[in-house]
Amino acid sequence: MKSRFNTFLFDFSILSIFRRGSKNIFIFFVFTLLIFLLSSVLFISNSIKSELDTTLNALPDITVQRLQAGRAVNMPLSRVNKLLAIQGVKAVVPRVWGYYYFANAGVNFSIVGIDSFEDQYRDLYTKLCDKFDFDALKKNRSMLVGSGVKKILQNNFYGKYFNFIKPDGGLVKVKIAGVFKGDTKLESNDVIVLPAKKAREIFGIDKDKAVDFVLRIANPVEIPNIAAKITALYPDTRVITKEELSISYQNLFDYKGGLFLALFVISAFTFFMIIYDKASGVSSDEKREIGILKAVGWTIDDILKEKFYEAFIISFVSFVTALCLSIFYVYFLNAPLLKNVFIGYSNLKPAFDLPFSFDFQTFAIIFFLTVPIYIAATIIPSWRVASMDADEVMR
Amino acid sequence: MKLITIFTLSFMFLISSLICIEVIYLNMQDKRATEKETFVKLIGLPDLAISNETHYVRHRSLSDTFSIFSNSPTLSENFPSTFVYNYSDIQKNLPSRIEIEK
Repeated sequence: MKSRFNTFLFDFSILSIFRRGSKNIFIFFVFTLLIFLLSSVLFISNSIKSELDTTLNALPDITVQRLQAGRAVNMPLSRVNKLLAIQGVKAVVPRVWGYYYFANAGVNFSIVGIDSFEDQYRDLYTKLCDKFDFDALKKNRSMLVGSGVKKILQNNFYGKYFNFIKPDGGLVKVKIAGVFKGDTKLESNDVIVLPAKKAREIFGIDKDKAVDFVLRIANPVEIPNIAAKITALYPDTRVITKEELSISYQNLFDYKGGLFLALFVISAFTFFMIIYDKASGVSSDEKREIGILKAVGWTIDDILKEKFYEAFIISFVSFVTALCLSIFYVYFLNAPLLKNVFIGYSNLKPAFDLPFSFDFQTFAIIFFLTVPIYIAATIIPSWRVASMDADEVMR
Repeated sequence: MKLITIFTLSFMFLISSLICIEVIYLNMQDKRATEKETFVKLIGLPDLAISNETHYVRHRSLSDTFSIFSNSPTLSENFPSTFVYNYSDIQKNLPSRIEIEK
């Protein structure tokens, strides 16, 4: 059987690419830039999604908020016992958390009040913080802060402590006992963890109230059932299960809106301009070349093969070059400029490394959206010309 | 085979193997997920501290309609975070559309 791969045809197509060098280099350049931009944005969004997914299992099974007139309001602690009475509920933890606006720097801190500062938690905090004073924590007088908070406080001359302003105008002085490790920056950057008692004082929340409840469920299968029971028991509550959080994480990026719409529209238009140029007809030079090839004895099959090699080489080389560059740009250089779009312009920016996640789907989508379409757009007009008579084409 | 063909093929091979090396190298990196999990377990709050201009972007999974419209009766844009991130779709108190009759 005759070999299907003709190296002479391959040689010819490569020489043909270089013969029309400037045009092909321009196509290669635009194509590479387009795929680079598209894949970089998709890689960054994938990383952020995968970062969320790594911590999904650690989230509480059920979170219960109370709504009054549509707004989230504090929950009375008297509801704890009734919730505990529901079968399958292992624990109900009332939480005190919220946002504190630090006007000097114009930033929002997320303050989380926690009760677990006893000795058995020493290991846990040692694992999470770089260096800290556990005894000060135990005495309910200090707080743990994220690295972004620490930086902002230091810039505002609060090196060792911070004065929170209470709703009644009084001050609450809290020492900084430690800083959360840099590895957890994406989660902890704007977080301040302090004793729940202090958090109540800062927010002015009564002793018999909590911001929301967190429920631990013994059997995960029962979660939807228990959620329904809670809604029936207290119709004014909003019950958020772990599964709903996972759905919310999945929908973090809406590919039909905002940034992605702008990006996809620009990419599609640029790409289809290249395609249009290719598909709108072969230039008279190329037509004559096809005519001559036919006249010297090439079959339509040979001409199409040659055109296929040509288009494949240009598009595939652009594709791999763009992918290689975008992986380097996103994961090694940490996506300068483009990352800022995802971070926003708050003063409390986390300086984090994008976690790598290999998503084959993204690779495949970018490949199938670019390479085969470009090849088709090159082959189809060539086939139209090649199927005409040689002398008609050359004339 | 001509020299230029060999050059082109080796360039394609080189770039493809560079991608493989990058992917393998990045996969070998220590991801330190345990610390992150411990932290999230401790505070029990979802979402990332990546963008905290508004509450409904910082803790978007816990947000509802009123947290989105709490700053003003119209939707105040916080470009670019509200432009990039989708609003949370697990809110259950979405108001119905109000149509004004002429």
